[in-house]
Order: sequence, then C-alpha cells, then structure tokens
Amino acid sequence: MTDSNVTIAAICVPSDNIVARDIEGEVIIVPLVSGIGDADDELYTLNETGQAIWQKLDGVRTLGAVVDALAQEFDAPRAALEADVLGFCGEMTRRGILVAR
Amino acid sequence: MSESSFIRSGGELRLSNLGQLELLRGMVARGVPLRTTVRGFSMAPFIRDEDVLTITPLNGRAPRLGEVVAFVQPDTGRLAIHRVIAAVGAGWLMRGDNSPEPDGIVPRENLLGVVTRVERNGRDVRLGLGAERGLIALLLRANALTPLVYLAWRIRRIPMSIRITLARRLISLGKLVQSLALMVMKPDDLVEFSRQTYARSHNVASWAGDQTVSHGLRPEELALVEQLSARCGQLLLLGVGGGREAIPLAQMGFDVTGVDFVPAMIEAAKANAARASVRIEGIVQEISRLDVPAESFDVVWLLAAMYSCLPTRARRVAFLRRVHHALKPGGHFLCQFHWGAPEQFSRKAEWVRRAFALFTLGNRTYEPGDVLWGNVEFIHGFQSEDELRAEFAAGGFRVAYLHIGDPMPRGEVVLVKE
Repeated sequence: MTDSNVTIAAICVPSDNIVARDIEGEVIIVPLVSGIGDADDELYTLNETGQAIWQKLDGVRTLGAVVDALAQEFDAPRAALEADVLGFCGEMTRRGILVAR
Repeated sequence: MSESSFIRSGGELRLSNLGQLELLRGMVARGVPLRTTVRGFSMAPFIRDEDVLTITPLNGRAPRLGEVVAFVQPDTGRLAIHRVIAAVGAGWLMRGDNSPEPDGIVPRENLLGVVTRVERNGRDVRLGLGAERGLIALLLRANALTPLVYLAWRIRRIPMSIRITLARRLISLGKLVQSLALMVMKPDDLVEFSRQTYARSHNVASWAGDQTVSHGLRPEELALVEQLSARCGQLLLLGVGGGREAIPLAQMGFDVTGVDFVPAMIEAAKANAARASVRIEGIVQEISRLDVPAESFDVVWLLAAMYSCLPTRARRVAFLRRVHHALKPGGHFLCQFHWGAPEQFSRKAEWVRRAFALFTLGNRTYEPGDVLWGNVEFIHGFQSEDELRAEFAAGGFRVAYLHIGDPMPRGEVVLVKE
C-alpha cells in the first residue's frame, strides 16, 4: 500500500510530534500527545523491514537513495524494495510519525 | 521483505531499566514529560510497583527537598527514581522511601526529571508529592519514615468505631489536642461522627420536641422562600429533623419529602406533621449520598447550614451534582452555610495538625475552616465568596441569590438548575 503524497523523490524525516530511540536493538517510537510522551498507553516498535528502512532515513537521502542503499544490503528485487519503502513511508506519514518534504 | 504493516503497538512491550532510561533521555532532550509504568518497591508506600508516573524534565532547575527525582545512579549507570533528602555541595542526596540506606550524592548532570504525577489503577495518587514531601524527606533522613509508615499501616486497619472513640478521647483534652480529633477522622468518619451525635435519643427528642417544631421558619429561612416564584410543587427537604421547616412548607402547599440519616427523626417528623394535619413523605439517607429519581423535584432545600456539614470540596461538588440530577429543569436548590473560620491556629499548630492527619492516615483532605463544631459535628466555615461561587458552578448551578453573614456567621443561597 502506498500513499499518493509520498514519492520516490521525497525525503522523509521523523515528525516533531514523536520521540524515537534505538533501545536494545529495537526502534521505540512514542507519539507526543498534548505535550507528553505517553509510553504507558502509546508506544510503537517497528518490524525488521521497517527498522531497516528507518535507519536509512537520515534527512538527506531521498526515498530513491534509500532504495539504493537497501539494495546493497538485501538480496531482493528493486521493485519490491521500492514498494516496501513507499509503503512504509506512506504508512508512517499517515500516522504522523514521519513527514515528507 | 514485503510486509503489509511495518509498525507494531508496543502495549505489551516491557522496557528494561536501561530501556526506560534511554527513552527518558530522549524525552529530556526534547524537554517533554514522559508517562511510563515503573517497577520496583524502593519507593513504597508512596510509589508502588506498576504505578504510572509522569516524569517532567527539570530543564536545568535544581530539585527541591522531598521531590521525587529520576536520575542515573552514579555507581551503576541505571535509572533510579528516588526522593531528594538533602542538598550536599554540588549534588543531592537521594534515598528511596523504602530503601535501607541513601543512594549517595548524585551530581546535577545525572538528574533527568521530577515525578509530577502518580497514577494507580487509573486514579491519581497525590500523597507523597504535595506539601508533605519536605516532611517525608526529613523523616527519611532521620530513619523515622519506615517505623511511622508501619504505625500508620496498623492504624489504617483499625475499625471506624475505634477511630471515632480515639477522636472522642482527644476531645476531652486541651484545645490543640482537641482539634486533633478532627484530623484523626476520614471524611466518612466525620459524617458518621455527626450521625451518631444526632441519633442520640436526647438529641432526637430535642429536635422533634414541640418547643423546636412549633418555632416554624426563621426570618432568614422565610427570606429564602421569598426567592421562590411558586409555593407549590415537589419539595425535597434534606436533613428534615423533627419537621420544624417541613410542616409550615407543607401548609404553604408544597408536597414535602424529608430526608434524614437518623430513622427516628423521620418517624418523629411524620408524626409531628400528622398532628399538624399535613402529610410528608420520608426517606432515610445520608445526604451526601443522595439517591432519588432524576428530575423529580421543583425545589431541593438543604436545611440548617448543613451544606457546611459536608466534608471536602470534592464531596460537596459531588453532592451538588446529585441535587442537580434530582431537580427538574429550572428547579431551585436552597441552602445555608457557615461563614468565617470558626477556629484559628498558629502556622506551627496547623503544621502539627496536618502531620497528625498524615501519620494517622486520617483527615488528609483537611481544608482550612474545618472544625468539629462544639465537638459534636463537623462543619466547614467558608471564607471566600469566590471559593463558594466556584463550588456552586462546579455543581452545575447558577447563583440566583446569595446573602452572607449578617447578623449571624452564616449565609444563604438560592441556586438554579440551568
């Protein structure tokens, strides 16, 4: 599933409305609700695919460059990687965790 | 590596101590509070295992004595959430409320945030974070907290009857000691204390006797009746006693239902009404737990300044909401209240009284103006019109008439359900 607002030329960065940390091998994401990070009620982790993509989002790479970087690490068809990156970034922007620019 | 969803809710995820520390560091870096479940017993009884804490970054300010602070333990590098018991040189001495000894000196750079809210089973727990925190820190420093907590734990398990007996013994002593009688009782105890007073046979006889009942409505009560547009409809009289007010109101044309927490009063009021050739209905209930059908009364009247007999603002506002529920739209609520502080204590004496309440786990909801009136019943003397109006507004009412304090230390009010 892709989001029409996220294109392969976009650069995606974490939103100001979340706090994300690498904790014990997992990316932990806490949305800020009313100015509070509520780790008791709302806390998210990423699956392996999401985590691999997240770590490439450095605020400089376009999503196309993220696909290129992933292609060097994973033995998977480029079309599948591109679908994953667009799918991931689409879902994360819909949830307000990433913003595309 | 295709997936339909890349994110998992971490509701079941249990962060380790170091995981929580890392997350808290992330929050501190952003300057936002973290709400998280904590594990452990080192802060019992004020913070318990599985409590949900809100930890607010200190943002450079120094922690205050008694505040509960999240910090990195210098020797282990782990997250700890303990109380500040002293400022020492460039750091602070910390100790868990249930820890056998202090953590040692913690430098400023290890401090992360201060606990600003504790939730347990979905409810806020305030004890331990308020003004009493300084006293707790001093007791902790003197190794006196644990014995006192144990004592309080034992007192908490004694039955209401023994707490009330203790209160009566305190009354027999001097003024300050006497005033401690108020502090040893919880709000429910205070209501029961008053009920026991009024349920005594000589009090029932006095309130239900001819001399009282034949007196009829007093001028300030007639002034309240003047505020009503009609002299008919369903009228609920709370604290009906022997029927002094109920009988003339029934004679005016109201259909009167009386409520009292003393069954003998209800019986006496009905008998007195029958002798005066009017009929009143009666319900035995404690008024702060009023439970009558919704929108069933045109007027609710809480008699004889009894609004002041309800301990704690929270209980009074909850009571007003029950009255609001009982009234028809546009219905009126009439009551009187005590005005002014009936007893004044020095700041030191107030401190002793509050500490006594804290360590007997008694009246921790004490409000300035609370007294045991004549050592027979609880009353709260209001001292601010703004406080009073805010309370009525919180109950959902508009103030139609408010008169305070002349010539008696009382006030009257007529409220309208909107």
